[in-house]
Amino acid sequence: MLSDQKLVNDFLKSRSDKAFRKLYRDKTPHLYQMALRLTAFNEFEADELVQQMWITALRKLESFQWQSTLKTWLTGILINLNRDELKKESSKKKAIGQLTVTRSTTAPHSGIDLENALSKIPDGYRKVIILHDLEGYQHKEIAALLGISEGTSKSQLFQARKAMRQFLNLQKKP
Amino acid sequence: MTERDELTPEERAAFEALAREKQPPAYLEDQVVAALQRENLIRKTTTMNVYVRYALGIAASVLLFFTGNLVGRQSGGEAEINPLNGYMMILKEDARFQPGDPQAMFEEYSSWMEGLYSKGIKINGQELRPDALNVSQAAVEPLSPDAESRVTGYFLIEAQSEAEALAVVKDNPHLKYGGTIELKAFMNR
Repeated sequence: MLSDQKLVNDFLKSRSDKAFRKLYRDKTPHLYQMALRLTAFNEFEADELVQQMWITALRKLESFQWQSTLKTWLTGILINLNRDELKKESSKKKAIGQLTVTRSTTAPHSGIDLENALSKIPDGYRKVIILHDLEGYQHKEIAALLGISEGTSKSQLFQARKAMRQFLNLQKKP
Repeated sequence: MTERDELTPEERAAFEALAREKQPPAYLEDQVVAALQRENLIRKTTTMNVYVRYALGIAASVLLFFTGNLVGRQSGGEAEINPLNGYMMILKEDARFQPGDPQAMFEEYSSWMEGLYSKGIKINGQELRPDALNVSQAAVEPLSPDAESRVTGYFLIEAQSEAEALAVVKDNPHLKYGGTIELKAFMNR
């Protein structure tokens, strides 16, 4: 497997679509999964998000300093784009604790309660719980990625877990 | 589940069981590449034909021009392929095809052809236009020159065995640049 630095250097050297496709194929499966979760499994929005992420990434790639991993850097771009998009769609934002959504929320496997619950919790909370409980980021890293304080990250994680459990308990009831 | 701050072992296990990756749909890769090309963030794919034309400064049918020259040296005209030992090499390109330095490509093809000539292998062929018509009983549909997969030329060779034909194919510079070649034996009934 090629290292991230080699993939990036090969691409920057040629700017060819062949080199880009190698980079894309190596990195996108993880980012696409995250994009699906961030958009509550709205495939159209996930496609758009991934596309915009690569456009933004390639604009900035030459100045990337490798102070984080490439994966973390790309994840940060993905999350920021998603946040910007949500700001534009503020009317669609859901209130805290509201567990019904109006957007397309088809989880890939309806039997997976947790995946379904993640798609139902409010957008802001969803990011933190995905980053912390699923991706394994620490609050300090999440704070940097989302542009929030560590305290806010902890608080949002608490609320996210609470909302998730609430949803799962509701699902259990006949 | 509880309202506690930390995840329970069951919750943790459930999170760990969730997939970290998902293969994106196949169309997305081409969609992203096209968007990046529109933004001039990646170089547009230039077909081998365009490069070769550029390199030689003539309009068309350049690559296999050399085939003609070499064939001419063999037989005074187009090489006659014995159908009993005939093979067709169909040259294809798709988005993975990345032409290299035009001069280097030119020299590689010349060298490849010279190598065949020196071994006495008969060959002829033709470069093809990238656009085409797809004809069925129901319709005649144009195929875009930018179609995902394009046939861009063919060679006919005479070889004593499939292994010999395959050795010729494997040395073809087209493969080095990401192209593919379909090798088919002539049907003999």
